[in-house]
Amino acid sequence: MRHLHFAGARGILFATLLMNLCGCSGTQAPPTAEVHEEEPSGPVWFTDVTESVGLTFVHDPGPTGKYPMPQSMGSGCAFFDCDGDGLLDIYLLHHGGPQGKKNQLFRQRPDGTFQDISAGSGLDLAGYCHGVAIGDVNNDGKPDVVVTLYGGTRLFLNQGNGQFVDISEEAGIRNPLWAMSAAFLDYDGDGWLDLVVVNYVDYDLKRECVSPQGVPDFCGPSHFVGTASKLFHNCGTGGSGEGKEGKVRFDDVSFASGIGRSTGPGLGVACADFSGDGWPDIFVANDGQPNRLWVNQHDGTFVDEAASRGVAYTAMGKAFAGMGVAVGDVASTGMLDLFVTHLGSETHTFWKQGPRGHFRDWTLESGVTGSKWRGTGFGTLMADFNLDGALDLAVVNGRVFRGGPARDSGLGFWETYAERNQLFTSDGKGKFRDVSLSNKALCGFWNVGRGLACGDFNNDGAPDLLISSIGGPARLLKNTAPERGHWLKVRALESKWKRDAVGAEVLVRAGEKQWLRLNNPAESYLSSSAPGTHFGLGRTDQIDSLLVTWPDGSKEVFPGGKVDRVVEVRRGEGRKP
Amino acid sequence: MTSPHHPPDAIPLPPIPRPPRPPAPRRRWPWLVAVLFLGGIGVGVWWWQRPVYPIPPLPTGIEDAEVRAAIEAARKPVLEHPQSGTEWGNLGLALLAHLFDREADECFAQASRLDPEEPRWPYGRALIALKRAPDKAVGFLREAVTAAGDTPSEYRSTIHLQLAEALLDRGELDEAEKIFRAEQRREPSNPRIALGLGLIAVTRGKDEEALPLLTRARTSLFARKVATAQLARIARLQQRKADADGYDKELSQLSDDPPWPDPLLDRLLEMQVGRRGRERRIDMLENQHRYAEVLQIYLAQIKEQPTSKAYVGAGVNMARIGDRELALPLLRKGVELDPESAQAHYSLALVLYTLSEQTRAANPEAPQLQAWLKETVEHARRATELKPGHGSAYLFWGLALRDLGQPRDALPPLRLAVTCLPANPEVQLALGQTLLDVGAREEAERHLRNAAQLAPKDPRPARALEQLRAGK
Repeated sequence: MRHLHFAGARGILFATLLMNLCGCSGTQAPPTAEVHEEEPSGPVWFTDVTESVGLTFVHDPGPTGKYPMPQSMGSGCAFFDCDGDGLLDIYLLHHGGPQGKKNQLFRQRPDGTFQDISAGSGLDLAGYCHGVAIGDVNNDGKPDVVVTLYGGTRLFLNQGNGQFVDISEEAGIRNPLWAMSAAFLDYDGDGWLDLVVVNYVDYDLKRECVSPQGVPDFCGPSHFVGTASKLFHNCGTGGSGEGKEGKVRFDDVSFASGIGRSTGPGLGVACADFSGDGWPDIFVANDGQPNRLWVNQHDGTFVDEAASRGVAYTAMGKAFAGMGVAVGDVASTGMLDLFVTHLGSETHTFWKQGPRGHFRDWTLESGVTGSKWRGTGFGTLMADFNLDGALDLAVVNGRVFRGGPARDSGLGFWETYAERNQLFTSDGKGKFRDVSLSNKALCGFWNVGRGLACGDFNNDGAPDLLISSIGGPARLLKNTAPERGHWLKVRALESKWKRDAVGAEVLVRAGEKQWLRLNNPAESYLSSSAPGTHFGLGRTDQIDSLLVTWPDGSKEVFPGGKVDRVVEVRRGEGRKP
Repeated sequence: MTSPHHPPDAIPLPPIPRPPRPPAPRRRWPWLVAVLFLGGIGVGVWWWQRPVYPIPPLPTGIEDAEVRAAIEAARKPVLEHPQSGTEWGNLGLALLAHLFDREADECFAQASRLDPEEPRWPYGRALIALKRAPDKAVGFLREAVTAAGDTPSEYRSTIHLQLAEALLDRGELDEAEKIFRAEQRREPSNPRIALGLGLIAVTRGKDEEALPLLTRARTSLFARKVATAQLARIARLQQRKADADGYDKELSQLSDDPPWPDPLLDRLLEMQVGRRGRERRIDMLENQHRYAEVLQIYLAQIKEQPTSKAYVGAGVNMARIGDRELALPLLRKGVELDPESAQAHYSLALVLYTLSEQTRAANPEAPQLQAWLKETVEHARRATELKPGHGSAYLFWGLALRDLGQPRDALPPLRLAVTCLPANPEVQLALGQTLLDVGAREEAERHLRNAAQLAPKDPRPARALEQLRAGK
């Protein structure tokens, strides 16, 4: 009985006391950042062009010193083409509260520089902003914007030419909870993009957390209960898809779908067909609790099958602090794998898919545990940065509790939370190698990294990176990897709906080789990457075919051909496989 | 021959005896130097090799007086007996119990040096390392295993199994298995060992081998969820859909597995004092519904430190033991002390509403009812302003408005309550009933059905649905 008597308290003790910090936290950890310095070897893949392109953004986290937990969770970033000119624009969020700085929208000029067009754009919202998701909710061909906040979720309809209008209330987007990552998907195959919003914890601003020394610090999630995620069903505009006939209307189907029946401290989200039945599912990374894999039941409901599909826990049965989510086929198996970032005292988890619909913890085999240093990972994504045909992996780091190793960073209050980012290259067989030391533009500075998005902003065929950090500047990293291979960009479009087929999977085939990519900009953490799919092809200069699996599970084959170009494929214009 | 003219002194005189020369002084100084030199070396060697005891750490800036006193009490014996490994270890425990893990680690390190046969000290370091620097934990665990030897003790098995699990985490399956097997010979029915061996089998892809082990582990409170999750995965992989679905459903209702019993962690819990110790006692007592005792803790705290939190805690527990009217002044004081506290406003609203319900049941015409309900609205609304996702506050705001005869005004907060807490049957029921009040039958039916589904044993949703069907 004594054991039972102590069981719960022992758990909290074990989770908290063994860390150098916050007594109120449970999952956060300490230390990390044990650096094994070596001489950098290997090519430099990125150059920081933030200043030269005029991206003048410094994140406003709000007044420091009171340690409200939402402040420590950061704000995200997005690449998207806000005005339809074919150039990627940038949207960056602040967390300064209603009196703080307003979110900033930067339009890319034809010369590759950026112009701040926030004022009057409608996206110049001030608040405790966290995440951003991009999707065309009224099928008018113009990407709309969702912003998640502490205490709200807002939907902005794109009016064209960089102008947006807030339609949250009239569209039925109500979510007073602490919203984090969000993603669009068409879960019922009706052609209208639905919205999933991941909510975090039932936080009380009055909860004060201190380090053992009595120094105030941010709270962790363990002393708050998780909240239910939200699923909003897009009812359409009542027209044929032009989006002009009626107003955008969403129904809150969280309860009816099953997603709202379970709570959890959700942070990251990814939507794809993880079960292999042709219907989109929803993966939610929970902070210190088992993850959820909401498997689509084809009738508007979802069932959490995370445990039975192997992604709820690590191989050792641990529920680590899940933050950011990256999705990619790392070994060219034709199946999507999952990578989730955790605390620095844990090891990020790699779940490899196989057989279809089943995942196995591949962390040890993946090599990500052999990193040069550890960090508390947030934003993460997979892309083929050197275009050698194998997906690489980027992670941005930053602590949520005091005690980091940064010195002389110039970050002031945030220095103790700062860490360095990480970059891994892969061998195309699911084995990664840390190349952080060679890539100082991404990994050579201290930051409290949170958001990470990917997009080829200069249209040179190589994926670039956008980073957001708490209290620091946003950074735009141009891909300058030498000896890059061939590439292909594929936009899979819904002909009828005039928009990207969000959730489509594109498989490129060339001889014995194949590459699979998911068309969904919502990945990473609080961020949205550029639409479309991007393939590094190595030395392959001719492809045989493109197989597109549309979001409803139907498949079409499109002809191959030359590489180093952008291909647009439209539903209905291919042939049956 | 001698001439007569020669003076007699010419006669050779006998030699004058010279005073004996003093013996040449013996050269002692080299010896002295040598002695001094050797002595110096001896002193130097002694000085060099003398046991040097570091100053026991005392974290600075401990604000909690109880914690400071506990740590100083544990530190004093170290200052008096710095050669005692036990005293260093005990100080480490006191520090770790209050989360000073860096300082605790220093003490355990010193204790391990002075008392190498005591397994608790390297084990304490291992527990810290498991969170702080996992790569180092295995080293400390090996040290602890060596110190523990093979003599049965309270710690022996725990330390061995912790080492096996740490190795398992690192993918060192063979050595982990060896330890688990050795422990299995001692304790064949230990579910922790079954779980460890089951996880090893799973990692090796030997699912069939894992099944009986995980099934055995699942019987333990400490491994139920983890083992069930693995069984679910295997069932899905083996295409036993019904089993997999069943496990998934079961998992959705299981609470987290508590950590395995650990004598060191239990000892640390017993040592906790101050705010954390108090919070732990309160949590434990509240879980056991011992509200009167919790009330006493808060009342004592009010005397020492009259904070809003203490008043609200006292008020809530006063209400829990049935003295709702006595609870009100405490809660009002809590609000007064911290008007920006959503919890204070919400707690007051909750007790006010409960009191109004109780009073109305006895006397529907009671004069205070309206005032209490209006006050409920005020404080519940304020709680939602301070915390926009406060689903329960929306609920009481709406309920109070409904009881005040304003069902239409009650709908917005009740809808927000459902938005925040969709799986709460009370919330669904309240919205359903209020929608019924205003004649929104279709929407009412949906929420009443939700409530019935969420709380199938509660007769109220069924009654409301009957009422709806009857057209009342």
